[in-house]
This record gives sequence, C-alpha cells and structure tokens, in this order.
Amino acid sequence: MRLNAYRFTAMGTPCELKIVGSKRAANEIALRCQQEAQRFEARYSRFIATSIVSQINAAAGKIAVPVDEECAAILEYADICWSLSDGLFDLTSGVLRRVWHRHRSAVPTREEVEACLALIGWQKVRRTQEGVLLTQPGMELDLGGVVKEYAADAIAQLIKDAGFDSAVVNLGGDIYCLGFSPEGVPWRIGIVNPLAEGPLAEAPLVNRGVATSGGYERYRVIEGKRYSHLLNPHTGFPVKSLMSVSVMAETVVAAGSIATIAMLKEEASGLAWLASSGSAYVAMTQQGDTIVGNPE
Amino acid sequence: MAKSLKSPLAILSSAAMSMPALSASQPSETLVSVATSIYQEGDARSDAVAFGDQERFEVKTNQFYLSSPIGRNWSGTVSYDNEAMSGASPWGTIEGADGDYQLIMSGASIDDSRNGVDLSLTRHWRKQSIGVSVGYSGEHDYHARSVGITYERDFLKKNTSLGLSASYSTDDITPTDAQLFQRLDSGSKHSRSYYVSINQLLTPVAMINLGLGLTRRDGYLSDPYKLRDVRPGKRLERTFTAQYRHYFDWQSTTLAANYRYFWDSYAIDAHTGDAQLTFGTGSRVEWGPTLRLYGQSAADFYVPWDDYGLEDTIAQSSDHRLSSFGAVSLGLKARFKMGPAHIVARYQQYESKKHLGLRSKTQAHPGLIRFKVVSLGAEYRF
Amino acid sequence: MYANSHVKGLGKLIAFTVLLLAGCQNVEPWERDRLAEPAMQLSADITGSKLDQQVFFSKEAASGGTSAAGGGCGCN
Repeated sequence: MRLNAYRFTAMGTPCELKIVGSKRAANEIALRCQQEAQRFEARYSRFIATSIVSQINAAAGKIAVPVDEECAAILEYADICWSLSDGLFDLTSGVLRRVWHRHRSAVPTREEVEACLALIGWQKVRRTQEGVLLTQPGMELDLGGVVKEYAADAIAQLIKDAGFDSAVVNLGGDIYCLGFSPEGVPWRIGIVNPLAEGPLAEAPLVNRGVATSGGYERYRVIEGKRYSHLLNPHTGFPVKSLMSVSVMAETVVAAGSIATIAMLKEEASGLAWLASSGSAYVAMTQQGDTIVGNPE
Repeated sequence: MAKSLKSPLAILSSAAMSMPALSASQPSETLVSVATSIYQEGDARSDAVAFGDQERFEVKTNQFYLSSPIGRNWSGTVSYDNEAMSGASPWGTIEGADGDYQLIMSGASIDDSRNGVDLSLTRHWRKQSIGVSVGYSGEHDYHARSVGITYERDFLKKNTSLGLSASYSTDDITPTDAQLFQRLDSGSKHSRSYYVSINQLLTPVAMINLGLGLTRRDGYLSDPYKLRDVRPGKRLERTFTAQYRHYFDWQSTTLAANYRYFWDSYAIDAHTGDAQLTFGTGSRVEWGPTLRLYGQSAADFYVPWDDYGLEDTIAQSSDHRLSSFGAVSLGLKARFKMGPAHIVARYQQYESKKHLGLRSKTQAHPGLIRFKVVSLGAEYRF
Repeated sequence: MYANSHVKGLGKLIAFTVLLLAGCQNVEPWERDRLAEPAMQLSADITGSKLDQQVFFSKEAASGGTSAAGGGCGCN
C-alpha cells in the first residue's frame, strides 16, 4: 500500500490529497475528487457568473432564484450558524468588503459603513419553495467559507465510498483525515504557528476534520494600524479577536463554523465560546498565548 | 430557532450530517438477535371439559434475527423461527347438563413443530426506500409462502414519513388423519394485504404513527380439526392503528401506547390497547411494566355449541376465538446492556375475561384461556 | 348500513388526522436525540413483537395492524 499525493488548485486555494492504495485506483479517485472540487467552485463561487451564488446576487431585490437540494441544505446550515452566533456569522456581510478593501488608505466614514450595513442581514434573505431572494438590491451572498469546508467533507466521503480507508484531504487548510496513516498511527496534522516557525501544536486525527480561522494572514494596515479582515456585521468594523483558532471535529464544516464564529467575537468572548462549544481546539491570543481546549 | 440544551458542536454536527454528501439513509449497524421462550396455557377447568384431555397447550419457541446494512445503499434482514407445540386442543363444544357449554378436547397430545423463514432486502435513497420480502412457514400439515413489497418516503426533513406496503400469501393445509376423522383432504387459502401509514414527529419528545390496513382472504378458511367448523370462503379484515411514543425526562422514561381497531366481514369488531413504560431509557438497565387490554365481539356465525342438525354448508363455528370475549395481559420487561451485547427478559400473563367482550349475549365459552409467556433473549450490535 | 357507519367513522378519522398533522411543530434534526432512543422506535424489540404477534394471532380473532400481513400458520 503506497501513499499517493496529489496537488491542484480549486476554490481559489491550493488543494492537496493523500490517498493510500494502489496507484491506479488512487489516480482514478483523485481525478474524481478534483472534478468534485471544481464542481463546487463552478456552483458556488461569486466570481463565476453562472454560479448559483452569482445568479442569486444578480437577482437581488428582484426575484427569487430556485436552488437545488444541496444549495438549500448549505443555506439551512448557514442559518443555524447565524442563530448560534447571535447574528455574527452572516453570509450577507461580504458587502463590507466594498468599504474595507485592500487598497483603501483611510478608515471608512460612518456614513459609508452604514450604507453597507443597510445591505447586510441574514434575516433579509428570504428562502421559500420558489427559491432564494435577497430582498434588497445590492445585497450579496458569499458562501466561500462554508462551501470550502463542506467540500473537504464531501470529497473525503467520496474517497471513503470508493473503498479507501486511509486518506487526507486538505483544501487550503480545511483538512479531513480518513482512517490511520500508512504507519498504522493517527494522521498528525500540524497547526500553523502564526508567530514563529514550526507548528503550534500537532493534532492526531482519525476520521476527523480540522479547520483554522486566522486573522493574521489577511489584514489591512491603514494609517499605521492593523485591521483584521474579519468584520462584525452589526457594527461594520473589524473585530479585535483572537489571532487564530483551529478546531477539531467529526466534520470539517462543523469545525470550521465553530472556528469562524470564535474569530468573529472579541477575544474574551471568543475563548468563552470555544470553551462551551463542546469541541477540541487550539487558539492563539493577540498576545501570543496558546490556549488548548479538550472536551471531556 | 428554539433554544437547545445541546452544545454548538452537537447541533452543528447533526446539521452537517443532513447535508446531501454526508447523510447516510440506511441503517448503520448490524444487529443479531436470538431468543427462546415458553408459552404455557393454563389447564382447562375440569367442569368445563366433557370429554378428552384437560391438558392444554404449550409452545417452545426459538427465534433468530439478523439485520445488516449491505454496501452503502442497501440493507437486509433474515429471520428464522422454530416452534415446538404440544398439548390438547378443543375439537368442539357441546351443551352440557345445566345449559353450560363444555369442551370436547382432542385426546392425544398434538406434537408438532413449525419452522418459519423470512428474508427482506431494501434499497435506500436519501428520502425514500423500497423493500421486498419473502417468507415461508411450514408445519407437517401446513405450508405458507408469502411475498411482500414496502415503500417509504420522508417529507419535511423526516418530520413526516409515509409508508405503503402490500403482500400476497398462499397457505396450504393437508390435515393429518384426514381419512380416519373424515376431515378435509386438503385446502388452500390466498391472502392479499395492503397497508398505509403515516409517521409524524410531534415534538422533540413525542411521535405518532397512524395506519390503515386491509386484508382479503379467500379459500378454505375453516378449521379442519374441529368437529364442525364451517366458515365463509371469503374474509375481509380492516385495521386502524395508532401508535404513540413519548419520552419523559423523569427517570428517562419512555411511554409506548398503541391502539388498534379491527373490523371484518365476519362482523367481528375488536379493540386492542396496550401500553408499555420503560424506565432508564438509554441507560445500562432498562425495565418496565406492560399492560394490554383486548375485547372482541363474536363472529356472526359463531354458535356457543356445535349444531349437527344444521347442514354442513352453512357457516357455523364454536371456536372460542370467534366468541365475544376480552383479555387482560400484564407483563414485565427488562433489558441489560453490556456494551454491544444486550440481554432481554420478558414475562407476560394473559387472562381471558368474558365480561370484557363486546356485545356479548351468551355465556362465557369454556375454551377461554389464560396463559403465561416467559422469554429470554440476547442481542449483539456492531 | 353496517358498512356506512364505518365509512363515516373513517372519514372523521381522516379529517382528524389531517388537522392533527397540520398543527405539528417542526422538529429540527438536532432536537431529535430523545426521539432517536431505541426504546422510542416502533421497531424496538423486533423479536419480542414477532413473538407477541404470533401468540395473539393464534388466540384472538383480530390480527395485524402494523404492516401488510405476512405468511400464515396452522395456528388460527
């Protein structure tokens, strides 16, 4: 049994597969996985005009767009995240990008931010039998985060259904580990240390996923101050949250949502959220302290 | 969304499992179950028996059951039952000296065994499934073969489920000692049965299932071992069933309450109600009492004693099972869990009571029985 | 007349059922942990149910109610 490794790009991130098995069978399934990742991108990317997300965004304020079962399930899942996070996890908050984009040299004015806030609110998304309607023109849905995490789980399930029992799926840091490594021990996934070389911690994973949310890689510097790319959809301003959070769970999508919600909260609330989430996690504060949590 | 006591991880994990790529619609575990039980009827009262053996019926049963997922989309079940029967049985009823009815019992003990096998195979999709089943049951004088088909469909994220099933069976009887006792040489009957049900989740702790059934039987429906038993060659049976389940946090108690109304073309109406409480649901020991109440009216051709003066083409039967009677049954059930292995023990005591019968006009049939059943079983899941 | 009263009764039953189901609360998948307990299932203790069905079928006139009838036996 050999370890076969594959790399490709999909959903705007580098993707990696490790599949244990005969080369021929692994090649076949890897190709199917890549196609599935590309399907997710084509279906849900807001940069592709024919995706369902672009169609919904283009019809904002106008008409409901019919969606299939998978899209409806993803939006239903996002609705649960919105409830659990008291509205912080909001797929409509992407429009804040317009006032907080990379090339701005000044902090946005209150008026600019408020104009954006008028277009934000998951409660303004209407989901019915007819389809999905964004009730205000100019509203936008951004499914990027959730879809990438779900894709990692879906692709891992594809590999499992094909009969493999040892593999790793890594879609830009959203990782699922199937079975044990070829050495017969759990897969060891290194959690990136944002401040130094080498991993912050190593997570032994068997049939589990790990997802990381971190503001350290993407931030803006405006007038000498650092602003996180994670924006609070209630205030419209960046959050002073933890520096990074990694969560381990049975599915990558659940792990990812917990991590994202933690990062959308102020540092102290984020830690409290993680502690009561029921999951195992590794978090780093702005000061550089590492907090590790394990459920009983 | 209602506030939940569950952790965010638990909520998100089960929400994730409802996503198309991740949800498995077929059962995920394999179950093997074996059980052995003894059924014992109380002896008939001596003043109720005019002729023949007082000793009543006893049945020892062994059961085997296996259910398992097959691949990602299929599941199957296999069951095998074996019964060993012994004891005497009523041949007929006569009018006794004081106007009471008395039984004529078979002399020699019946010693017979029955073997039954049932197989089923089901294909699962996300929201629906289709299953087929075949069954065979054989005794030395009786053989039955059946086939069935079942369809189930979920709606509203499985809050509501619809079930449809149909079956067809053929039974053949070749009574023993046919020449000797001038019994029927051989007879057969065909049954077609249809069932529709709705399963509805009511609250996070309550669920109900409502069902309607229709069964049509044609052919030889009489009992060839009775001295005079002539039944119509057609019988149409209908059932309405309601099954309710409720979970109480107090002592982790589950209530299972069921009701069935049965009415058929023999003019029999029957009500059946049973309730079972299980304490310690989900914990290592589950146990609890069961209660069952039953009442039926008499068939329109039921006679309290055999009338040989009547032509033998005219329907009549003195079989106590077609008389107006009722029954109360009390039981106790316990389940002991040791990881994947469970031990299940059951006890039940059943008593027929004339006064619980519906629209009863006549005296109690002397053949009304009481019985006890004790069973012990083991289950293994993996 | 016998059949009619049953049909009317059935009609009322179906109307009652539709109303009952229309008034139901939607139970979300993560709220179903207690409903998922084995003791809460209709199929809890399949072996025991089959034994009971066999016993009652052979001693009473009524039968069935939970599925389409299966094969028979010489016991009734």
